[in-house]
Amino acid sequence: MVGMGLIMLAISWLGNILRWRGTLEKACWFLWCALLSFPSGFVAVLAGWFTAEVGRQPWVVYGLLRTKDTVTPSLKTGDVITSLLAYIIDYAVIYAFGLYYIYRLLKEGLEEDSVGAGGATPGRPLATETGNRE
Amino acid sequence: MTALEPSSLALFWAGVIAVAIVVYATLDGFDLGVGALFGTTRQAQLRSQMIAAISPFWDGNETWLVVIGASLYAAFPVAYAVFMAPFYLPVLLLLLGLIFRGVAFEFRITTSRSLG
Repeated sequence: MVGMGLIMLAISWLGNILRWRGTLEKACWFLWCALLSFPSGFVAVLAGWFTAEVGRQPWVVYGLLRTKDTVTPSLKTGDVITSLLAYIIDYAVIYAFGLYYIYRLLKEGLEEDSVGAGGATPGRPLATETGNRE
Repeated sequence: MTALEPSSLALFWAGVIAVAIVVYATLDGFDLGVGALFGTTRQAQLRSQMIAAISPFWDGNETWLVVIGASLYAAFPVAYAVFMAPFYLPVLLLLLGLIFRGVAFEFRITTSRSLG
């Protein structure tokens, strides 16, 4: 997560330096870097979650209530495997379509009127003007 | 107080869960119902109206389900264990359905091709 943050800072500072020099629009390599860095926010969020949550068992007490004491007795191995696989498939499908839609939004480029918050639905900042296309 | 008489804390949490179930059934019944009726029309305009009617509220309404589950888990862990053991896979299907439903709200906006 920290690494992704440094990469984001590097890209934004580099972009400002290039703009200050007036060569931002001509630096094709940098524009490609900026385009390809679009998943960096998602990667950073997921990496942060992994750091915070992997191996975390807040229901055990060190030395007193061990992991083997906290296993749900009624839970069958098959159920756990089924639910884990179901979640993996579920998230794989959703992330694949999410990437596809992000790619399509990037390909279409900015709309002139998408800057203002006019068409945004309350509480859904991502759902801006694009929703009024149909 | 005899041993069979419930404590006032247990009564309080039973009340919280009962209220949460009623509020959940009422509020989320509204947007799940609109979701069920969504399949009855293919007109894009009607479908957009349906989505617009529930999109600011549906996720708030679903939060009552979290209140029910968390209260049951924290206040009545034995009841939670009895409930969750046989209903593990049905609850999994419920959660997967809610995940796809929630994502569908966000993805629908980004599709340019009309689904109607």
